[in-house]
Order: sequence, then structure tokens, then C-alpha cells
Amino acid sequence: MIEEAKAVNSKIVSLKRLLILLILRGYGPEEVTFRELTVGLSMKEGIFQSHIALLIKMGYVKQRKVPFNEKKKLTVYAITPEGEAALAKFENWFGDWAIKKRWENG
Amino acid sequence: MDKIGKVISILKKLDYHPKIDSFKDRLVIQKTVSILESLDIKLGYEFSIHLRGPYCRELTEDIYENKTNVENLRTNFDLSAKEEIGVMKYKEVTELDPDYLEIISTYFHYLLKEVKNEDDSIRSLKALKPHLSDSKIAVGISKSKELLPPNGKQIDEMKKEFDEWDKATVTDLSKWD
Repeated sequence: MIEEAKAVNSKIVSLKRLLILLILRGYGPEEVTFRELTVGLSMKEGIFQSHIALLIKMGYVKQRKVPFNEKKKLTVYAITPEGEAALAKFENWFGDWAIKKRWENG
Repeated sequence: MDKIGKVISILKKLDYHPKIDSFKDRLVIQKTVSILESLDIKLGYEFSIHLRGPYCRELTEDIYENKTNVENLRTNFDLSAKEEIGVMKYKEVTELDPDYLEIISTYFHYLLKEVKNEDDSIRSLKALKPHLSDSKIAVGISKSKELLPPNGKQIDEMKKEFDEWDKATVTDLSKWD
């Protein structure tokens, strides 16, 4: 179990970062705006920014600024293939751990 | 190509030339398909509620896979006369304004797919979109009602009103017999 855990990037093991990745994965190649994510996750802007910055640094999320109309520019985010792979790896490891735990507890 | 072909024929009818790298254009396509599905123009895409309202990942993937065809509005699909009328009415009412499209698609999802009553649908919509002003939502709801065909109760009310007009006309004319 410990050996298998080494395959998982421990930096994504934060409920907030997992939620961000899960939401972005639901959108697939589509981008989600800063406002939608902070409102949808009920997360303060500063907290969101620190988590998303780490996910961007790890290459799991990409960010860009896009024009929405003549006045407005939006910051949007999308999950990268690396982000999807890291999330899947974590889910597999966690799934195995949960099954083992249930087995041990009868 | 079948499903996305029909979506392209709708964009063609709307005279909407999307750029797939544009966030706004993809949003307009998502909302348009969701609203038209609610109005019984069947396109075969399944929507579920996400952060910004009804969303279909399969549609986004199809748009990216068929980027050139979508951007050049290339399709062999022809809409029926009834579908064309529905699409033109949709364009006239919404003017393809992204804010109204968000409101209408979300309101229809709650009202028609989750079968909530009108008040509960509006409450759920406001909870999902706290950034939209009450006045914007009110206009959006009124546009939604313009798009929906009248229900049984509304038809009965209209009949009652027309009957009264008919009776009044007959009474007035009878004075001249």
C-alpha cells in the first residue's frame, strides 16, 4: 500500500484541490471561469487562488484570459491530460485502499 | 457527424459563425442546443446541471472533433420547416445574449427536466446564479415564457377570454337586427 501510494502525487491530496480537479474533469476540454469556480465551490478568492496556482504549477490545470465582450475579459481554467491522469491515479489508489479497509473491518 | 451535423445546420439558420477557440461562442452553442432540446427540437445530447447550468461534455467533444466543419458551417443536414420556425423564434426572443441564454437554459432544465414548479425553478436558478441581478433574471424568465408553447391552463384562460369577446360581439350586433 505504501509503495503504491508513492505513485500518487501527494500535492493533490487536499479536499479543495481534489474538488477543483473533479469539477474541471466534468467539463472535459471546456473551460470554466474564475467566478463559476469560486461561487460553485463556495471558496474565498484568495484561498482558491493559492490552490489553483499550485495545480497550474504542477501542470494539472491550464489558465488563460479570454475576451468575453468589448469590456470584459475572463480568466478561465481547464484540466490538462496530466491532471486527468493524476486524478485517475489517485482514485485508483484510494479505491484499492477503501476496499482493503472494508475487507479488514469485515 | 449526425448529431453535430444537425447542430451545424442550426448555427447556419441562426447565421452564427462560431470560432471554436472562443469561450463565448462555445457557451452560446451549449446553451442553444440545451434550450432547443427543451423546446422539442431533438438533437440527441444529454445535459446535466454543472456550475454554469446545463452542460453536455459530449457536445464540447464533438465541437472540437469537428472544428473545421463547425467553423465553416459545413453540413448536409436539413432542418424541417417546423424546426426552422422554432430556431428563428429562438433567435428573435433571445438575441443570442449569453446572460439570457444562461437563464433560459437553466430555468427550462429545472422546470421541464426536473419538473419543478415555477417558483421552485426560479429559486433554484437564483441559487445557482447569485451573480445575476433580479431584473436580469425577471427578463430572462419572461423570455423563457415567450418561447414555451402555452400549457393547458393558459389555453383554457385564453379560450375563456375569447368566448367573452365572442359573446360581447354577438350581443352588440344583435342590437342592429
